[in-house]
Amino acid sequence: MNDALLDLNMFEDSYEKCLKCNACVASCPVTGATLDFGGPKHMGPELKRLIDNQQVIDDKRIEYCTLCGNCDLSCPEDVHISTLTTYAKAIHTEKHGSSFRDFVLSNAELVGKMASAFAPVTNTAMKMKPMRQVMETVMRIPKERKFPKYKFKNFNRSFANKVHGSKRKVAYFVGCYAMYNAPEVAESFVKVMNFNGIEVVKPRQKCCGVPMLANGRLKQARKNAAFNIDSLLEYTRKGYDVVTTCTSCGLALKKEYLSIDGSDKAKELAAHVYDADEYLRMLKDNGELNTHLAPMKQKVGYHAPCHMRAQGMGTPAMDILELIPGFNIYDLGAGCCGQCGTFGFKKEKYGISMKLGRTMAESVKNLDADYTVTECGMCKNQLDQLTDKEVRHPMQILAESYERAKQLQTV
Amino acid sequence: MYDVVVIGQGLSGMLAAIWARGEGKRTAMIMSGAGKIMQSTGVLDLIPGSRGTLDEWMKQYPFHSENKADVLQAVAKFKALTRELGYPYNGDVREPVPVVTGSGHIKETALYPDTVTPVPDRGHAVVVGFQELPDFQPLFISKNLQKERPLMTVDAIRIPLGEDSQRVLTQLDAARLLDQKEVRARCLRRISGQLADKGISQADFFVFPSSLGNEAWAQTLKQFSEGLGARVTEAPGMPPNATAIRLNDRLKLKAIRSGVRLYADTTVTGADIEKNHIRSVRVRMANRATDVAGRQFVLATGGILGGGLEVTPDGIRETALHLNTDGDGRPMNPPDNLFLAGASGGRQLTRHGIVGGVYSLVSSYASVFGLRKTVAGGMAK
Repeated sequence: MNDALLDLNMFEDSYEKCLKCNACVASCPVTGATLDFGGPKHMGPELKRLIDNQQVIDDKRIEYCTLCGNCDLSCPEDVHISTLTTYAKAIHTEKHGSSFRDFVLSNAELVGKMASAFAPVTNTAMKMKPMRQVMETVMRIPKERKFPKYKFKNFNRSFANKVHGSKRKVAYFVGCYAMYNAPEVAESFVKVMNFNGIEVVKPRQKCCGVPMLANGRLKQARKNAAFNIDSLLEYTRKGYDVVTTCTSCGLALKKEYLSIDGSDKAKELAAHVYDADEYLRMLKDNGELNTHLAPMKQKVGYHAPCHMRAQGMGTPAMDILELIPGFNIYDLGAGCCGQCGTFGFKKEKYGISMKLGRTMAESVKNLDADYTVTECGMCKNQLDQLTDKEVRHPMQILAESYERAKQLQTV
Repeated sequence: MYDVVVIGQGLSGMLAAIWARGEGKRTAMIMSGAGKIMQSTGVLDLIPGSRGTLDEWMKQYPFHSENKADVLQAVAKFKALTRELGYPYNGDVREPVPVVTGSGHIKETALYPDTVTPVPDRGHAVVVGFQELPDFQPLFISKNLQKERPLMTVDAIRIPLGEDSQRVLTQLDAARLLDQKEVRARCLRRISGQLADKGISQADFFVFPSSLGNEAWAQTLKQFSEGLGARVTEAPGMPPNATAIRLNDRLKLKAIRSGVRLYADTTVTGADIEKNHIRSVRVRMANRATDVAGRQFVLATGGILGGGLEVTPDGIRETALHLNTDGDGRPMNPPDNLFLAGASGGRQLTRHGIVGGVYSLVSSYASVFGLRKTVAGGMAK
């Protein structure tokens, strides 16, 4: 037997605790939307029970798993279901191979670098109907699907490390989205940190690996994990906290690396990782947060990304944004957006993606707020596709409030 | 810092969190897993596995008889909440009714949604199963029901839902299929066909899996009862029961939308207790542990089945806060800002492993609003 497959087979015995209670099945967004998916219980603990110490089984129904992690949230026995489905995906890709499309989609970083370098061309081309028709025919990427724009002036180009010796120091894990698509989010985060007197550095980093895991490219994800762990530990060991503005990157550093890397170093790193809002909330709890925020009289809907909820930290974005005077923020409670990273870019999944997104779109419509706020770039992509409200990242709002407060002070 | 920190996300925890938030309290709910509503039948019993009356229940649990009005008020508040959520519960705790379960046995229950209809003594009942759904066996159910209801005529039929599936269907899957009007119409035609084949001319009670629609339960109920010209009921059994999932999903959405902060997939591993007063609880997340501070705490972690209590060779251990407990797992001298909701109060509260939905809702109500004499404290004060 192939060594790689044996390797895939040796991890994880949490499946033994599965009582088949179906809580994961009832909580899985994709299971609710299609009968083509095997469901988290069958694709996770039951498949693992079947193949543990036996011949590896490749089950193509795993293609429908988005790795949103709602199964993990629902399991009363703490079975690591999404870890098991991650391995089922890896087995499938190992045996079946990756399509060119899935290879491209899972390479968010490489695509980001290239698309950013030719940003005006890329963005225009992605809007051209003949181009999209070709993409649909050749790559099975639906022509109706909106894509995030790429920015030429990406965060790599605009940011330079400045060290001035603040008490708290942040090593910023930017992530591909804020790096290449939404440098304004990264810039806002740096501003927010600076308003709190905290220096920000950008360590060497690669894609967190989540898009790779979602497409069964476990080996590549492990390589990226190992690189990021080593790179970030250099900082945490010097007293830096690692902070993310992308909730999927955050989940990878906090949780996924513990299962796909599993080393003591992965554990050491995870303990120092914060979501940006979580970090600010921690500063507030310690009385260190700059609360000089200008009022913003707005009604805002909050969409909680699955990978935010999976971090088990409450809803820090709302906790922080509620500190802005006059700011009214409401949790849409819409569940999964249906974009699910690369999932929603795939022709054969597009119908499910839209079906899932409908609930979210309805809740946005019903609330009828001034705009929507979410941390996740992919949720934003789906919101952009399905709603007519502007979508902002919490850091953009905070930066604006801090800046206005500063202006008011100087006037 | 929260006003109220609820530990546990079953019926007790969810209600305590929603009601505390409704009182304007900043509320957090610490959750390990989806909570036991998911695995429940979705109907709320008085004394599980028993045909006891409200007076017997009040003696057993125990409540002082003068608290009866408070108990009824708590029940009324629960019913009002379910109406607000678009999934109204019926029933009277003073008059429990017989309902049929997914095994065909009859149990008494106090509160139940519109999709559940009390089972009559006589008449002609037909148990309808779906071929794709192995968790609900109509023949087995009909034989058990016949034993329980000797004066009744009970038949069983089985129809295909007729949708291609790549997995074995659950009751919830069937419920989601029945959300579609065409699927319902097709089912009705197939039921009529089967009834004709069996020479059943007029049945007056139809027993279905706990699958009568998920979102569109009201339409399903209407279309089936009108189409069949008879009363219909869900018989909750193997989870996931749509009867329970509807309640769970609506309560959770209510908690989220009203601003309860959900700490999902976390575990409380201890507390910072000073002078018998909890300052914060230790919460283990995926990557590290953190302290969640609060003014008041509700322990709604469940009993032995729910994982709030654990049987060890040295006795029963309370798993979240590590409180000292007596032989039944009842916390002794609990902290002054801690309220016990549901089965976390000790093994003496459970019957056949569960505490019963009515006690869950009444104790949650008590932890938020306080009942005279029975439970110390109450957050409203």
